[in-house]
Amino acid sequence: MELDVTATEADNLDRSLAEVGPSRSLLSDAWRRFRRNRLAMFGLVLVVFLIVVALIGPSLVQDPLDTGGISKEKPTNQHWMGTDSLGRDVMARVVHGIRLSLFIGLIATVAQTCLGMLVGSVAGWFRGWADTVLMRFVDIMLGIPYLVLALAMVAVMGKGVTAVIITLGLTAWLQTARTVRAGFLQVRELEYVEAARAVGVPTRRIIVRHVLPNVFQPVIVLIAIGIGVAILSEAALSYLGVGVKAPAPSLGLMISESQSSFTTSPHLLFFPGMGIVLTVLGFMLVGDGLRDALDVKDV
Amino acid sequence: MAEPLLEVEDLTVSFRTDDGAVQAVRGVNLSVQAGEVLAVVGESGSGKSVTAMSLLQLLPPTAEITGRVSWQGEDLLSVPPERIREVRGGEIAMIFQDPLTALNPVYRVGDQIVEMVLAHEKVGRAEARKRAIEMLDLVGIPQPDRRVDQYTHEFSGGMRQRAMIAMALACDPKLIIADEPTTALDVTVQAQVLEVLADLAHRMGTAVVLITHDLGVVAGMADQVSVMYAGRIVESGSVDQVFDATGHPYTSGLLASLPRLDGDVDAPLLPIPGQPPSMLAPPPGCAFNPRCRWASEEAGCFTVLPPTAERSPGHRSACHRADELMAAGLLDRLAGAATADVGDRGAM
Amino acid sequence: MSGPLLEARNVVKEFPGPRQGFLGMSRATVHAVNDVSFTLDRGETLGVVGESGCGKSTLGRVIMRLLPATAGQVLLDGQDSAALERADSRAFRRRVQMVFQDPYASLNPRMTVGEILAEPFLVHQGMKRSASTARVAELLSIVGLSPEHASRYPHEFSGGQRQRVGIARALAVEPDLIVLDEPVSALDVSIQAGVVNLLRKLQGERGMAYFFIAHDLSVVRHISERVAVMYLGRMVEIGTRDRIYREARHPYTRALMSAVPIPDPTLERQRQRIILEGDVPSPIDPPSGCHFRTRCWRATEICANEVPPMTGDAKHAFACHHPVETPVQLGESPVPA
Repeated sequence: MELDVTATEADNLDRSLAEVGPSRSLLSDAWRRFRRNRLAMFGLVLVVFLIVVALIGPSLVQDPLDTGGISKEKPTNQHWMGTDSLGRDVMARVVHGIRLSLFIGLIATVAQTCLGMLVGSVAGWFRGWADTVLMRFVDIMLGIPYLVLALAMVAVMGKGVTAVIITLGLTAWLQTARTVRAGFLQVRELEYVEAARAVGVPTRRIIVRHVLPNVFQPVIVLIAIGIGVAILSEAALSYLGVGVKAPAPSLGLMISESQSSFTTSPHLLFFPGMGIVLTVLGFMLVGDGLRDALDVKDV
Repeated sequence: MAEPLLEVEDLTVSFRTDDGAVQAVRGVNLSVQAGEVLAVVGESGSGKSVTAMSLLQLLPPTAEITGRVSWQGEDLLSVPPERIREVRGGEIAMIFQDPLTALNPVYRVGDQIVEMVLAHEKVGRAEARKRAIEMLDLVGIPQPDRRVDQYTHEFSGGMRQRAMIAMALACDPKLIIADEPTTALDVTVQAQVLEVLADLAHRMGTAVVLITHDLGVVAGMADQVSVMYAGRIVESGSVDQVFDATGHPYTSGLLASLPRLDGDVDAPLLPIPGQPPSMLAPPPGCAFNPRCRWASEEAGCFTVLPPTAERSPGHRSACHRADELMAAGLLDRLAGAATADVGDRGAM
Repeated sequence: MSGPLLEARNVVKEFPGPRQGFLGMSRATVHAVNDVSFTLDRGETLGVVGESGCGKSTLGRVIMRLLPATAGQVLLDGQDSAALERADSRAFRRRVQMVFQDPYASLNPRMTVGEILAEPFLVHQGMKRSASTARVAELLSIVGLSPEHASRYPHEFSGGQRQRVGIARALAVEPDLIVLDEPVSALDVSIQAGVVNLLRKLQGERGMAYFFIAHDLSVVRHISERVAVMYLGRMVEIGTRDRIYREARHPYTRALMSAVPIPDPTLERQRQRIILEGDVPSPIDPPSGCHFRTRCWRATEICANEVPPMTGDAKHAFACHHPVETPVQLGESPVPA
């Protein structure tokens, strides 16, 4: 039996150096945690269902603008959710309303995320006066109530979907910018960023490859929650009359219209109300689940 | 020998995780006599800190603990929580690696010591404050009557560690558990803190369980040593026995891998090949077998858990081939000489 | 080529400190590196030792040009490194590389090991990922890892394995100099030795110079030809390994050496430690004269008034008004009882 080994031999013998455990990506870990979270999975099912409704629903329902029905009819075989005061099919309007909500929520969130990441990245990477100027601007913007901003947008652009999207985008990017900036300030000091500089990696590649992917997790959570918030805000703006213009089928607008006849025709409030609740709930639950699964602490 | 102060019998700790049970501690036996410094040595993941934390039930609820922790005849694992709180800080004190986990930043250092004294002893506030100043002086903090009214952020790293020792000593405990007390400190400050600790242990007759990864610190400070690997104690004995008549290949490997101030500089260091095992699925037989250059099929290293056997009075190790290897002088502490020797013969 | 590979001339690095005074209008200055000069030859290892706050890591980053020097020059082959880096940053980085302390923080968690190692080839040679696969595999096997590991993420590796990836990354551009910032401090001892041996082996094969930063005199002893000791931003002693470990003259070096525990109970019992009083003073407001005087048992009036100059030759130089004359003995202390 061999009893001695030299140092170099021991090093070469070191086969176990070549051993690592089974491959596990961070993503599959996160997905495993997400899947175990029942509420989050319920939210995900809800979101997927609503997206399907938004995509194929409109081709299955009646024309949401067709005023051919009887006014304020209760749910029947022909109109499953009844009709509104103008005799339009409520189900068609709810389905189209969900589609519009998702569309507005998605576009507004994509826009605000891009803007927020850009501003946050610039402030967090360059620091100094760029940071000071941008973040003070963010602070000022945070001080303006979004209703005031919405009124201003309507005054400038007139009522409509575009004005709503811009209003929502302009208010929501602030949080994203702050989160991304905080992430940049933290990650840019980490050793692997310093290591990339030491290797000679150009600044732009450092930002794109080394910093951004590592500040993206809280942004993913913000996106999910942001869509929910945007949908809720759209409903609120439309309800208050500074959002989507009638006769477009917006859930908020439908609730507003139902108000006068709530006691006699509760279905006019119930169905669009449920539409909003389920959509917002779905995204919020997914956002919360992502937060836990990705172990994000600062959102 | 007198009745031991603390006796740990067959302690196991496992944690439930997503991937299964992590068996952090797998049957540990320890015994500490009054006034004695016992060092528990091991690398990260060996279970040494978990062992320390489990003694005072400081582990999270996901930990499942079995075995016996006998404190002056009383089993600490089965006493009610009130009793544990009484023991903690009063009879057994703990010192952590990071003093900031034990010292509260919003209270004055002195007040924290005072609270500690008031919680465990029937004395007045003035008396407790006097004790606090005394303790700060004892651990070598200059101007203790002024420092007593300062906050932790006004203390440097070494002083915080000393303040924590002062707090630990305030109730005159019989045992101090020090978990890597100097790992975060610079060497010159480490020397100060260790001297304070050793001096107090000897002067006040306090027993110390020193959890550390640093064999140098052990050599300078401990009376008894227990070496941990993969949740088990693989070797234990007096500091001279373990260092000079090493009885386990892991201990011998650790000593040979250490760069030292004495010994042959030009000889390469001898690393222990491989990595510590995953505690989710430790290897069968001797947990050290994948890294042991003397592991053999015939001896049963790969299949049979090595029993802990006495090598000389008070010196035990858990290795199938210990007697054979010790007789051949292959586990000798003299790492430098052994390395040179091995190097020569390695040409074969 | 004659002359040293690297020469530092009176390097100073200061940082803006915490705000002070009325409304934080004024700012203190942190004197991180204070007038440091040394040379490093091709293929040589200079170990730089000191406690936290002594400026050793900052000095390493100034050499790397990760931080600009406040004053003084760092010359690479006689040319000013600041100018070299400004003129062609990538050319400079091809010659000087770095290995970082924390194997967990120094690898990007979102890139595979293959991507991390391919980056130098992409940046310096414009090699696409597919073209550099063979080079990446070669790097992995040089540091003792397996080429199949290229597709794995850093979190799947142990500390020692990750540090090997960090070393492989520094080797990719075949530099003349590697700054190693405490490359083994975060590793378990049984793993440390393997990394130290690997560094020695690589230097033997490739002949690059190491600027090896450590807080531990015993690790440095096993890898360095020359050793420099820093205290509070200044270099207090520098010399060949044998001279430093056998005949260190500066009281701080002696105290540092005396504080290192030796894993030998018999020896430890004999040792009379030099226990320094107090902690390292703040680099914001360092003591006048010799920075070490507040903790030095040999300090006199002159130490407070005059900064001791570096005296000695290329083999051994130190900055002390009252150097210790006796040789180093591990068993006993030069301090009078």
